[in-house]
Amino acid sequence: MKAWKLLGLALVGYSLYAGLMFEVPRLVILNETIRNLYFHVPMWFTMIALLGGSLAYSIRLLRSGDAGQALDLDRDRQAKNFAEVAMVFALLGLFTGMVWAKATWGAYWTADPKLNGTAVTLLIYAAYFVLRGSVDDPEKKARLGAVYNVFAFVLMIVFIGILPRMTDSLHPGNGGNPAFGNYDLDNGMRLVFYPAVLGWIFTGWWIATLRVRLARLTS
Amino acid sequence: MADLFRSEGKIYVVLAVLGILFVGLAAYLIWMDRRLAKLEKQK
Amino acid sequence: MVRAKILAQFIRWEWALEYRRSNGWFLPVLFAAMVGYLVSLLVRQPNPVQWLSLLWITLVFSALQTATRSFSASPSEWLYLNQLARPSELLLGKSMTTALNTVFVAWTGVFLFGLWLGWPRPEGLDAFPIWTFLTSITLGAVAMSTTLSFTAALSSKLSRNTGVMAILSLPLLLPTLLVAMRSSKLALLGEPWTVLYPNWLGELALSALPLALGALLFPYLWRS
Repeated sequence: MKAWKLLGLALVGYSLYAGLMFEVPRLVILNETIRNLYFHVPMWFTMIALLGGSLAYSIRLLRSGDAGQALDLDRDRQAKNFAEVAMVFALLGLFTGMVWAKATWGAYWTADPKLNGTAVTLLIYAAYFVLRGSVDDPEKKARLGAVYNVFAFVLMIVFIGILPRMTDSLHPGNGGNPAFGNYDLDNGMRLVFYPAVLGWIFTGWWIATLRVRLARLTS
Repeated sequence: MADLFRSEGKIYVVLAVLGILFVGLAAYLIWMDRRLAKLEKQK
Repeated sequence: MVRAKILAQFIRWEWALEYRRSNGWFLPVLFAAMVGYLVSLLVRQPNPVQWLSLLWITLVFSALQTATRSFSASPSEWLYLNQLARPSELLLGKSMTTALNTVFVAWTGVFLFGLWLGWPRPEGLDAFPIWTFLTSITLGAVAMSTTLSFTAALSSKLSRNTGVMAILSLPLLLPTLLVAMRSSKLALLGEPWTVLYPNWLGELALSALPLALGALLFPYLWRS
């Protein structure tokens, strides 16, 4: 068992304990729910990390055909499975966010750039799977999927990272930071938050690699 | 804040529940990893 | 990478094919007109925001049609084109003609909307801010067309692609649409170009991004 896998589990376990037991700032409306930061937000970081992995495998897939040989389809398997697990984390992030929103904002959904970004990401990658499903030939499926993956990832980053900042610069007073807030940076919440993010990324990556290995054995 | 809840020690109940879930999932992942490794070695 | 002479030759070829031989270039225009007319039957005197929303829905689907048509050449045509130019040149050329087509369809859409649904008069304005509004719409049309060129190129490689084109394109269009809708809304509300120009720059950037990505990725699409 590789060390990083166990480290991931250990960090998640630590974040579970510390997330409940350590002190948190006392804020109006949020109260104890601020502890959700340790669990809801890492879902997104994990999603991005896994989509980045999927992108890397897609790029490597395309490059593997550069010298005229056949494409390395194992990389397509990896790209696909990483994207799938990323979508699971996206859905987990979405549902946990909706529950949290209902409790604190009063509604399951609002017209917020972060939520828009989430919906768009899910739709973009749903289209990735639709595209793959509409091609039968494995090599063509891999190639078209990889091309789409590159385009989709770049656009997603533009949407999540750049657009919220652009709209903020046009409407001053929004702080320009599309993240949840400054709570995690201003106090001891960092001590739990960063290990949690790292732990979940490792664990999510582990789950993706397990699926790839299973897919290889059952092909 | 949940001060009353915590002062009655009930937070440990929540912790125990989450702990059980966590141990269960962790055990599942480790078992899956070992099983796949074994199958891969056979191939 | 891209040879201007070949590019010009390709565009001239496209022009001849589309307009001279009347290859159905007017179909997306007709589509925009039909949707516009349908909308005019469904809604009476919409307020400015409703007018704009309906316009954008019309423009998006008309743009989808335009792009799909651009890339629906037959395999023998593609074979000829592949001998004529490099993949990056083909994409750039096709994207340029698609952009022009989309802009034309968009202008038609806007004017038909004005004809059938009237020109919305936001509060505090004497006249409809036609120039700033058209700039926003035009840039938005161009931005949509580059993303759609990419997805149209991609889905033209599929054997059965009737619904896939829309499913592929709409999520990828959302960033562009947000910027374009905001840009046109601000223009509609009468904001001067000094306030609008960051949006226009955003639209331009979002036009350039798919082209850059396409230039990198197109050779991989055309491997077969």
